[in-house]
Parts: sequence; C-alpha cells; structure tokens
Amino acid sequence: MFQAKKNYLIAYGFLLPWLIGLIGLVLGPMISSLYLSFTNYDLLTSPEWIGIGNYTDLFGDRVFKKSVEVTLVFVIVGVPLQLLGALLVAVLLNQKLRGLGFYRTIYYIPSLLGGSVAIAILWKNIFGLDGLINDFLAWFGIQGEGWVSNPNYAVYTLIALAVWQFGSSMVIFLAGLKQIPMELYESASVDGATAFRKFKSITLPLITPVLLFNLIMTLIKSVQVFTSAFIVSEGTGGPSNSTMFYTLLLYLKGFSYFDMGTAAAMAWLLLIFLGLLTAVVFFTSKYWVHYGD
Amino acid sequence: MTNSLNFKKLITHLFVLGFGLVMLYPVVWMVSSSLKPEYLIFSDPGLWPKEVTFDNYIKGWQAVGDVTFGLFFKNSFVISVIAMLGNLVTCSMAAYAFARMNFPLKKTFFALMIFTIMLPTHVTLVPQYVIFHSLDWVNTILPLTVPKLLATDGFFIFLMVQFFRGIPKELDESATMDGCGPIRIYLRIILPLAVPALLTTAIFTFMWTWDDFFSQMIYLTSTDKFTVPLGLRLFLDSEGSSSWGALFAMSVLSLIPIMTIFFFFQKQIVEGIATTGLKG
Amino acid sequence: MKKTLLLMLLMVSFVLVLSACADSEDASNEDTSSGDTSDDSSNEESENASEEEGDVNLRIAWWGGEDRHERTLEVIEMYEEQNPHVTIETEYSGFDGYFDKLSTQFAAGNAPDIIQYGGNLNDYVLRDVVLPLNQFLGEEIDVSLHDKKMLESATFDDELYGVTLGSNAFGLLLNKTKFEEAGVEMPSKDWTWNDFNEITAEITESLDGVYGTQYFGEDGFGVYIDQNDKVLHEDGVLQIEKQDVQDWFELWVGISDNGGLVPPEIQAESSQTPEQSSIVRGDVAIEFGASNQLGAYAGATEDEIVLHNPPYNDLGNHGASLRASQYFAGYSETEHPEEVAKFLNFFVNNKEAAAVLGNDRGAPVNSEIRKTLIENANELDEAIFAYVDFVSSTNDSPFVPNLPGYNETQAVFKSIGEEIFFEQTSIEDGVDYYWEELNSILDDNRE
Repeated sequence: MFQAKKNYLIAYGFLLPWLIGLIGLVLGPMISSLYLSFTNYDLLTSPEWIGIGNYTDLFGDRVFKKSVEVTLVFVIVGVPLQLLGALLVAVLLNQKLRGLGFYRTIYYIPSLLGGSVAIAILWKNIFGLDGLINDFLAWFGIQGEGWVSNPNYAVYTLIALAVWQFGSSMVIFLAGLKQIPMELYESASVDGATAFRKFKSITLPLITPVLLFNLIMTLIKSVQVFTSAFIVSEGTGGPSNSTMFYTLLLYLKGFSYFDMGTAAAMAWLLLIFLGLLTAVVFFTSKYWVHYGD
Repeated sequence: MTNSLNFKKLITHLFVLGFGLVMLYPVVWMVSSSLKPEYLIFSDPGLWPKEVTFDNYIKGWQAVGDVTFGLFFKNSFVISVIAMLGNLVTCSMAAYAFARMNFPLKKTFFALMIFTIMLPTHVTLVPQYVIFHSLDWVNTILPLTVPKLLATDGFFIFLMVQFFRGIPKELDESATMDGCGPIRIYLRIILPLAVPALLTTAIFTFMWTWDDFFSQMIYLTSTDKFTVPLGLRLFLDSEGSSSWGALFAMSVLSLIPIMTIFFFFQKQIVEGIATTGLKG
Repeated sequence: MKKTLLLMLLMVSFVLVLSACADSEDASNEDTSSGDTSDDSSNEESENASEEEGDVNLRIAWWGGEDRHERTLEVIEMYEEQNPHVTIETEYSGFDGYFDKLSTQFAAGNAPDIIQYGGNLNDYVLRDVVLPLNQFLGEEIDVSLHDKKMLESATFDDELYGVTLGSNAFGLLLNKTKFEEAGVEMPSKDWTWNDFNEITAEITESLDGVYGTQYFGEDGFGVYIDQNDKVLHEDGVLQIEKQDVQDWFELWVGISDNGGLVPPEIQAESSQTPEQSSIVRGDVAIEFGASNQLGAYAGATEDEIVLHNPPYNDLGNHGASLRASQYFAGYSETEHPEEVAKFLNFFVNNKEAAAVLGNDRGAPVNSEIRKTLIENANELDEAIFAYVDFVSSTNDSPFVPNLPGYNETQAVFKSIGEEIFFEQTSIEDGVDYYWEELNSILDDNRE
C-alpha cells in the first residue's frame, strides 16, 4: 500500500513537467478557444456572446462544405498511400546495403523542404502546364493538363506532395524495425522461412505499436493539413476552392476574415471528429496491435 | 546462388538509386536556381544554369540593414537545440509514466494528451500569446523554448509511449527483483533501449523547430532576434520585387545543418540498437 | 550518457522552477485571456516601460521587400538623430503573416505604435484600433500640401486616420516586345473595349503559346465600376447592382470566346508576385497592375513592359484613378500619440526623408516633394509619374475605399471567377451566389 503510494508520487514526478505545461500553457488557451467559439470575435474588439450561432451558421456555408469534402478526399486517398509508401521504403532501407546512410538522407530530403516557400515554385515546375510531368507525358504523345491549376486535379497534386514527404513516417517505421530483435529473424531463417513469411509473421506483428502511432498521427495530420495548401495556393485555397482544406479555411476565417469565433467553432468540431476517429482506431487496436507485454 | 544474390542486390541498388534521383530533384533544382542570375530564375527553368553567379549568396548573406544571415542561423540553432533537449528529457519522462507506471487518472491524462494534439494551433495561438505577453516574454526565445521544456508536444510523448511499450516487460520485472526503482529502470533500461525513438524525437524536434515559420513569426519581432525562416521571408515582397535569388541561396544554406544532423543521427538509429544487444 | 542526462535534468528543473513562478502570475490572467485583457495588459506595458522621463520609445511595423526595408531604416535613423529623445524599435517583415501577427498583437493589446496598412485601413478603423489624427492637424501634422484625394482616402466620418505613403493608379502593363513579335500595333490612349477585344484576339492568334490578356480580377472590376460612373459602396452600403457583376463576367466570357483571354489553367498558375505573373512568364501580353509595380515587373523580364491606361467604355471613361498604396497610422492605445503624429509628419513631409524613400511606396503625397522627386526621376519613374499625371488629369471620380471585409469579399470574387472560367458554374448562378455572400459579409462588417 505504502509502496503503491510512493510509486504514484514518482509517476507524478515523471509527469510533472508535462502537467505544468498542460495547466500553465495548454489547457487555458484550449478552454478559452472553446469559449470563443460561442462568441462573435474579430480579434480586435472584445468577444460578444452569441450562443451556438457560429456552429449553426457553418452548416449553411458553401465554402465550409467544400472544405470538408476536399479534406475528406485528402484523408481517404492520402493516408493509405502515405503509410504504405513510408512502410515500403523503410523496409527497403532496412536491408544491408552499401551506402544506406546516403540513401536514407536522400529519401528524407523532400521532408526537409517541409514548408519552404520554394515548394510553391517547385510544385508548379513539376505539375504545371509546362512542367516535368507533362514533358514526360509528351514523350508518349500525351497532352497533359495543368495539374496544379485545374480544380479537378489540384488536390491530387497536394496528395502527391504529402506522399512524397513520407520521410518522417519512414524514420519512425525505421526506428520501429530496428527495435525488432535480430535473433527472431535468424531463428526463422534456420526454420527455412521465406522473406515474405518473415515479414508477415515477425516484422508486421512486432511493428504494430509503431504502425498504430503512424496511423493515428497521419490521420490527425492529414485532417489538419494546412501548410502545403497554404504555400502552393498562396493562401487562397484555389483554384475554385479546390484546395481549400478545413484548417486553411479555419485560418482564413480566424486571421483574415475577422471571424475568430467561427474559426474556434470549426476547431472544436474538428476536435470532436478527430476524437471519435481516434477512439475508434484505439478501440480496434486491441485486436491488431501487439505490445511487448 | 551467389550470382542470383548479387543480381538481386544490383536490382535493389538500381531501384533505390533511381527513386532517389526523384527525391533529389528538388535540391538540385534549388541549388541550380540559386546559382542563376536573378532575371534567369523564372525565364530559364532548366536545371543547368546558362550563366553561373555567386552573387545571390553574397547578397543573401548580407540580409538586411546591418544584420547578416549568420545571426539568423545562430538564433535558429539556439532555439532548435534547446527545443530538442527539452523534448528529449520531458517528453520521455511523461512517456515513461504513461507506458510503464500506474497512477490515478492515467487514462484521463492520456486522453487529454492526445486531445492537445488534435486542436488546430491557430485557435490557441492568440490566448497563448496573451499568456506570454503577460509574462513579458514576447520578442524573446522563451515562448519558443519553454513549452518544449514542459513537454507540450504531445506528438513526441505518444511516439515514445508506443516505443516504450514495445520494450519487453520482463526486463523491468527482473530489474525490479534486483531492487531497482522506477527511476533506475527509466535511466538504465528504458532510455538505452529506446535510443531509436529518442533519436527520432531529436531529429524531428530539431527539424520542425528549424522550419517553423508561424510561431516564430508571431513571437519574434526585432530583426536581430529573427530566425532562418523569418530571414528567408524578408526576401519576399508580394507586391514589389522580391530577391528570389537570395531566397534560393539562403534556402540551400539552411538545408545544410538539418541534412548533416539527419545524416549522422540516422546512422545512430541503426547502430544504437546493435550495440546495446537487446534480447527478446 | 548518464552525465549528460543528469545535466539535462538539472537544466530542466531550473526552468521548471522559473516557469512555476511565472505560472502563478498567468493563472490570474487565464479567465480573461480571451481578448478583453487589452486594457490591463497595456497598463502593464507602461509599468514595464519605466523609462527615464522624457525618453520615448516607439515601435513601428511595416511589410515590404529588401529595398523598402533599407530605405525605411535609413529614414528612421535620420529621425532618431534629429530627435535624440526618441528611440524607435522596428518590426519589419515580408507580407506573409504580417497582418496575422498584427491581429494577434491587437488581441493582446500589444500592437506597435505606428503601423503600415494597405487598402484595408478601413477594416481596422471600423474596429477602433486606429489613432484618430484630426487633433494633431495643423500642429504636429501638416497636410496642407497633401493631395486632397489621398487625404479623403484616409478619412472616415470626417476623421483622418493615416498619412498616405504614396499614391499610384491602377492600369495595364503591356509587354511591348510581345506586341512587336505579334506584329500588333501598340494601342493608342483612347482605345475602347472593342479595340481591346480585337487586339487581344489578334495576339493570341499570331503568337504560339502567348495569349492576349490576363483576367483583370477584382481590382479590375473596381475600375470597370468607375467607368460606369458608379461607386462600389458608400460606408459599406452597396451602390452597385447585381447586373453590374453579371455584365462584368459576361464581358470577360465574351473576350474569352473571342480568343483573347488566357485559358483558366494558365490564369490559375500565375501568382500575385510580379516575378511569377503571367506577363513576366511570357504567357500573356497584357496584365492588370498598379503603377508603382512597373519597376518590379519590368525588372523581372528582359521584355519591355510599359504602363497603359485601361480601355475606354461608351461613356468615355477609362476608370483608373489615383489611390493610396499604403498608409502609416497610429495605434489607438499608444502612450505617445503626439510623438506618433510627429513621426508620421516627418516621414511624409521631410525632404531628405523623401529623397531616401523615393518612389518605393508610390508617388509621394506631398506635392512639393513630388516635384523634386520628378525632377530627379529616372526613366522608369518618369513613366510612372507621367501615367499617374495622366490619370489624375483625366479622371476625377471620388476615392472609394476597399469593400469592408475586403479579404473575404475578394476571396469570394476570385473563386467565383475561377468557377465561371472553368465552366463549373454558369454566370447567373455564380453571380447569384456572389451577391448573396457579398451582402452577408457586408452585414457582418458593419458597426
């Protein structure tokens, strides 16, 4: 009993920095954003209580609907591609190969560019009407489109950008792969298991904690996708709002349209959605994630 | 047997290299653009510059007023290193508590931690600014570093929780039998075995802080406090003429530190675990 | 490894103690952190800023490119030399994030004393964060030589809120080189929309991969409204009809059908920055712009770019008029309103300062200073001044500030245009939607 209490104290000791940060820096702003979501607030004058008006207004807002649509496309198409790509490359780069460090660094480069302003120009350079992709297609006699600037395709170029920046998920997978004891593979080899079998019965199960992490984080990051659209569309979400991601609209409303109240309402709707989504994933994880315990 | 193995290796090499070229393209393009004279940057999209000049680097380095880009590098470096150390220590502490210890309210706290990742930062930014302003921390590096020393980055806590939970529990149990308390287990067993996760945290924190434009833009106001992302934006003017050449030149330079750090750390991710000799 | 860890822990605990102390302080602030703190935080500011008596510390914020930064910094240094009791802290940056930061600072009651605004000044005046200047007129601030129209542009409800940093005029940028390549004669000053339609189609036809014109956007729409002897709005009340918007888009769909307009894909690929505009990329021969941007456009390409007035309509108007590029204005909560006023005066009325600033933000608002500047102008500036002169002598329509809630109305106008040109919606439906949105945005942006 006494020991348990002492251990509780130690546990809280470990949590202390986080708790201070939570109470001092995080919780307050979160709660005040919840309050602001029920107000008319333009940042410049005092907020004024209006009840649930911000929430109900959103449902008549055409751009809001569009932003939900665009974001869902990004998530549904993009998340599986990002995870699959990252895992494949991580497995590929986990082999014994000369110059691995060099390859890993090269593969990480796109992620290094992150939110660089140069991305906007680069992307037009690749996916523009006179871009690389169309030059490539021209060899086969195909006349390409202006991928970045056509409202039918623009969002897919941003998905491509996200997949191309698989670096961070890749590194996390790589770290997870490294944690798998070599002995397991060795004894499997002795038993004559094929590479695919080893992947299926050793690698995959043992990497599930990391896979769960990457799945949840990729989901959250994709639902919150902002930087790429902000940079490539120069903060407009165009053409025709085809890259108007949810968080981009939220930002525009909060900082550009003098409507922080609605932005806060959007943020809390997003939080609820993500909360539910994550809860579902966590619930199912009981059935497919294997921890060391 | 060896022949087919070598052939397989060759194929893998070719594949990895070919794909690598696609990945490398942006950097090659950026370097090439940084070497072009200003007027050719947009009119000559080719990778091979028609005319090579280093003016952009000279002009870019001088930045603006009497402030050079070297200062921006120094400022970015200080902030990124503190953020990195802060996240390593405090996030791993919190993660250890979540992954290995029992205490009241554990589930609630964990859910709260995940929640903090989900709320878009744009709406908490202003209230947070008010707090930092009331502490008189605006235009210092404190708003950018103190949160990292207080483990406010739930992402990394969650990351490490997942890795810590992957470490076999028998190790802790046998250590407990030997009379080790939770603190010693954390220091002697968990941390050494989670080196890949720690390095991952270190790399990401450094890089994301290095790249972060928005919060640095909000909190840093005087030019001598500016960081690399803010310095780069000084070259751009959406209405007048921008110094794209200088922008590209300094962007190239700003990649060097993070590329170097990545190169060495990724090696550690691999070797770190091999030397600790983890047994399953 | 162990030692470094210990060191880290020590460091962290030190900071923890530090921030724990700070914590008790901000706990009291938390409940009110949502915006109504502006009063007590500015009080706090005054406590912190316990300078020696007579010493004045001013903060000034502006956005721009490198050139503007250098010039503005030089003028500030000049001012500090002449006014030793004043120190000025500068907060300059690119345009990215400038107004986001400003809004955040307003929310915390921590905005700079002197702030550069663009055409969005009215949005901030409406929300009472801009310092009224009438009280200083004739004393700290002398506007006797200032352009009347520019004064009007910063006047709301008979109160002056800012000094104009430069005046310019909207107009067309013509790529003369492309005209020559196409064998199309440069238009005369008195060209009409019919001429425009013909010329643009002719260019598209005679050049491969070059189109007649870029779409003119919302600023162009403002000029078009002016051509029809109307104003967009008065104090946020619309003075145009839905039909005007409909006519505008029909005009452009007509130009498009005739072949003169660049296809929407290329239109959407261009960007606001001069270097990435369609005309500099060589995709079009005509683009809409502001006179003070001529330098930026001309400098970004080897082709020859010239300024030209928009085509005339049936009423005999070209619609371009003088407008303010940017303003300096004070923060309503500043502790040193007089000092702010003195600085504003210096910035626009001092001859040496003007010589340093040049034409960077547009033609100076003070007529005497403008005269000396014209005398020393280079070729490019001369062309700009000549154009501004032409505009002011041929169009005397009143200044119309941006629509309130400019960022939002402009975004809707832009996306509707894109939907129409990409044929995702009909002109009627697009205009219906725009009109509805416009009215609701204006409702939200009224006092």
